[in-house]
Amino acid sequence: MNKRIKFWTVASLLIIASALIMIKVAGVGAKPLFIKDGISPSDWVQGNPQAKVTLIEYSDFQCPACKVFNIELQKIMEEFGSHIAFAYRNYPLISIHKYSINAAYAAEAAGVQGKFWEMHDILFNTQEDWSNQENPEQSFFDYAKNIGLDMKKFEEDYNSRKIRNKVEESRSFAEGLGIKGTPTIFINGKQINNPRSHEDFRKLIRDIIAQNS
Amino acid sequence: MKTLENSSETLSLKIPKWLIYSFIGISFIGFLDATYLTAEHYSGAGLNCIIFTGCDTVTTSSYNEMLGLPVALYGAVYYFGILLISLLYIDNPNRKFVSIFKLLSPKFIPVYTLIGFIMSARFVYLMLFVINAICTYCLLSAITSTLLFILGITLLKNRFYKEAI
Repeated sequence: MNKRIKFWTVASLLIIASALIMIKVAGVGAKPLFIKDGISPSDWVQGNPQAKVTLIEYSDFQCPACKVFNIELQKIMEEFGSHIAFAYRNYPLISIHKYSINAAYAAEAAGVQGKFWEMHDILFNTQEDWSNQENPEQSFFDYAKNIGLDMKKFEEDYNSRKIRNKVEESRSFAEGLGIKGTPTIFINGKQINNPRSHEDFRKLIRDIIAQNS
Repeated sequence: MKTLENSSETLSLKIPKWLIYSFIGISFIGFLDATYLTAEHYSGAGLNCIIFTGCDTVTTSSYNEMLGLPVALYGAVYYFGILLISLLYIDNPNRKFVSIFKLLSPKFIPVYTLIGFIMSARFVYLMLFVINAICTYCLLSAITSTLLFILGITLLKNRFYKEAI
């Protein structure tokens, strides 16, 4: 009898403990991260820059999940744009997306000429095209041309130390903060769980706007 | 000839040790994997690209749910079931099951592993030809369910199984 009790005790404990470890590894119950400073002057901002609700996204142009999130976010901005200041920050995951950093340079270089968001949209919309190319830089230059950028200036900025430093600073900051993936979203400085559906996202934003009005 | 119902009460099934321990080991791995995927589903962590593991776009797709519950949860229940049946067998190979608990008889393992294999094959098909993305942990589950299916066939062909049925 004792042997049987021992058998079932050991088996149950092993199964429960291992399952709890897996649940922990999957991120359930993880504490959210916080960003102390809000939107900075170097951020690219959409919506109402004076809004009480700030949404900062750490994103990677080559990340499929960021592309999906961007579609959802655009719907949210259409509906609640006047109540939200949305800032996009680069966090190229260079270990898994080898062209993400160049895409970030292209967006930042377009931003110098006031067309960050145009390049941002093209990069996400064409993600599958350039992600599978041998040398996507040519595509980035084609996109720049299509949105009417001064190509000499774009090339200069794309290769500039200033742009590279800005992207690297953003990436290092995200890494230092402990962000492990993209998109990672902060609302009013607090990391949120990525919404599972458009309705979840709408409800979350509606509630936060109501709390801040 | 005895019916399946009667035989479960009168004849015990002798499963080779290596086979029952293989069921335990593989279903345990499958259970942990499915538990991870289920937890990831509810935590929202599967909705992004992670530095070291890449992007599990499969876990963000609409095929990831069935009747309002994540597919991984069904997987966790399946693997746990196989694990429990195997442990019950080790605890007492001559255990008599009554009413609904007859479903916990090891005689049904080949049927369960066949269902698990079909579900898994369907998901692999969706990954490769519909969603066009591979999810590492889903692939691991496909491997464990395939191995369980092979073990299920091995059990089915076992002479003790034939005699018991």
